[in-house]
Amino acid sequence: MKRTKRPFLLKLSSLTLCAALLLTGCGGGGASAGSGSGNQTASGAGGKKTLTFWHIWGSGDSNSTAVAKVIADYETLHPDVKIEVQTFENDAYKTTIRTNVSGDTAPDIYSAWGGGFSKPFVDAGKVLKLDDYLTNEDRDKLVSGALKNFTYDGGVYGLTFGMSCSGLFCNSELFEKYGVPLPKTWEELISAIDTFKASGVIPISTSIKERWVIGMLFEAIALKEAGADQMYATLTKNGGSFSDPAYLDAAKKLMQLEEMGAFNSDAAAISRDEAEVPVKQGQAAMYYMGSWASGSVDAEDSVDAGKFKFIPFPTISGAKGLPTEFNGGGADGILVNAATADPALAADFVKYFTENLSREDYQAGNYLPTYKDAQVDESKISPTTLDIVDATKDASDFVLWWDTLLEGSDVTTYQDALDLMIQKQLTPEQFVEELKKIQP
Amino acid sequence: MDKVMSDKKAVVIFLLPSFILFCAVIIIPIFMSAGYSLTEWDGTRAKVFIGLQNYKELFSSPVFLKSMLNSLIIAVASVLIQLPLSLLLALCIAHGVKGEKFFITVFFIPVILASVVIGQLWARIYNQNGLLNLFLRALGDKDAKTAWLGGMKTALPAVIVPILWQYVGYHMLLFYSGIRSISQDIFEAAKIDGASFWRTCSSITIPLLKPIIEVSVTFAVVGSMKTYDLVKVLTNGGPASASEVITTLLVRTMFYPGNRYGYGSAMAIALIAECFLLYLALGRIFREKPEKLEKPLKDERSAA
Repeated sequence: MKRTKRPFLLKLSSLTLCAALLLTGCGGGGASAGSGSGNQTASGAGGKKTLTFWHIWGSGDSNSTAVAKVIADYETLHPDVKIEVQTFENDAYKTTIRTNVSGDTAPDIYSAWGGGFSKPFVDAGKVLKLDDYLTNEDRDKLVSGALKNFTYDGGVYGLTFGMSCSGLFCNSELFEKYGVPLPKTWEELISAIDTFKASGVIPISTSIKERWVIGMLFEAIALKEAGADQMYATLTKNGGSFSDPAYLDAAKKLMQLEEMGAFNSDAAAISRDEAEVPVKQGQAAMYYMGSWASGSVDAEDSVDAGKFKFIPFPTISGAKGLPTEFNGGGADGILVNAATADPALAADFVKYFTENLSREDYQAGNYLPTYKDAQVDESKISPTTLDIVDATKDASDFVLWWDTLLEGSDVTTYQDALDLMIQKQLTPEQFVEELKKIQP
Repeated sequence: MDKVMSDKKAVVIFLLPSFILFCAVIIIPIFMSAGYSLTEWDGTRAKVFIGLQNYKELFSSPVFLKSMLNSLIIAVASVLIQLPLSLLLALCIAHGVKGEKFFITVFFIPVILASVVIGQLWARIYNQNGLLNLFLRALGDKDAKTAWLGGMKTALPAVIVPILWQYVGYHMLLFYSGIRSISQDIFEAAKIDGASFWRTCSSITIPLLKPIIEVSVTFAVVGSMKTYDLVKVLTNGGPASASEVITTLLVRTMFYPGNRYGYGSAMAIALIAECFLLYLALGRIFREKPEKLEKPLKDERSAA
């Protein structure tokens, strides 16, 4: 009897020990995850309200410090509110948030993209309409066009904290060395490319492997050909059409650049990161990229830091596009779940968050501000960022990136066709035929 | 043990957890995908039943057919290039090369390395100023500046090389342990009979390795159909789908940016079906191959 009892006791005690370890292990993990408080539901027991917030600016992202600061500030101002944050990696998040929104398991507040990305959410009635929570005063604070990509059927469904736009980053050191003026027209661009090419300088550094990079350049040409109104109407399937000759002209112009050797010869093999290397080493004269690149062209490892000029894409004579029209706009924003327990509180947080993050991100050089009169120390902002602000201060319109403004399957149609045209598998005429398959 | 096995209840109870798990993570999702593949669905809005429309589109899509062909090319290359190479290495190492352990470790290193690392490594080799072009310049082609991963003709071969290279060590190890498990007596008998190295290999080692070769061929073919990581890192299927495989196409069609869950599911089902058919076909080929009657060793001795 005694002999069997002892091992049993031993087993029991080791089991208890295991259980205890497991439990404390879990407890420790939970506490370090930062939830802490026991009030998980909105307006929970302790009088503390909780909002769940998912976003993509986790540690390591250039935006993470600013985001964390703004959230902490809000909690300090509102001691009765607890913001429960969960962060995700960018690419994975695009699938995660989609699944959760369609499965009604999305958090109260979440980050998303404007245009075609959030359109299915709005169509499915999963997003809170913010019009009732936006006063005229709130609207006045915003720069023009800040709500454009989050407005669906006349209603505002999201707020954005930053804008970006694309433009030509010109290395003024090289432009001066070869006596080339900064191009304002298509002809000047062509002659600049010829000069640089003859001198062994890469005229425009780009990536074809990452389809959105070459796409950005095509969209810039298309904007100057078609004009902002026509292009926006076409992409949002609201009256425009790819049958407009502007798109064929734009495709031909892109192929003209490709055929004259305007791009680095390994563009199809390298990523955007790699395409940026010759820019930073002073071997490429021009770089067509989003305003966010201002940080890296001015970084310490860039040999011509501080000498980059940001200019709008050159205009094309006889075409409709204006020099004040840009590709880009406010695409990164925050949406509120239609099923949130306390819509007013969530909307209040989103307003506070976007306004303050707009300032923080501008200061940090991540985005251009979406709120006017941001109080920032301009001496601490990178010179190229200030150049961009200057170039866009009279902007008349922004048309969002095609891969965001169009819906998913249309993005594939567009990018596949562009890829084939660049590799000369499609003629510009055939490319436009492919674009026409995007159903109006 | 027999007692437990005869107790049906115990068998069921012990198998139940893994059966449930297997169903939950493999069988049920496959049937769900099959269901989705009959719909037009963007993941958020309501599903619309469209019957076999997705499959019709799939098999009339040049990009899908191209990616299927590319996957098959990779599979064929694996069987015809990678496996013979692995076998040769295994034979050399197992038949008395000095420093067996060292060579095994060296050839096995690529298997351990993360595919992303291998991808970055080879991307540097294929760079305009990378190792390969420097090598060509050293050979005298002064203007060697090909962007190997960016050419319509060069991209697929350039992607296949590291895919094959990565798993040579893996198959080599399979073959090597297979050879090691063959009784030494047979080799000794062959030696006494005066068989040469090649004769030993072709008459003893390779026939006895048949089961292992079968496993390797299956792994190589099914593995090639499922290749994703290296293609993703090296070319992302580009340029203009020149190196597209089914998996890279599937991911960008189904998730970001394509967002076509129904069509993507049809692609996934096609991939599953293709892998399964290939698996069955391979089993058949190996079973039906008649056992070759080896010539008696005597011949060689009398010839010698």
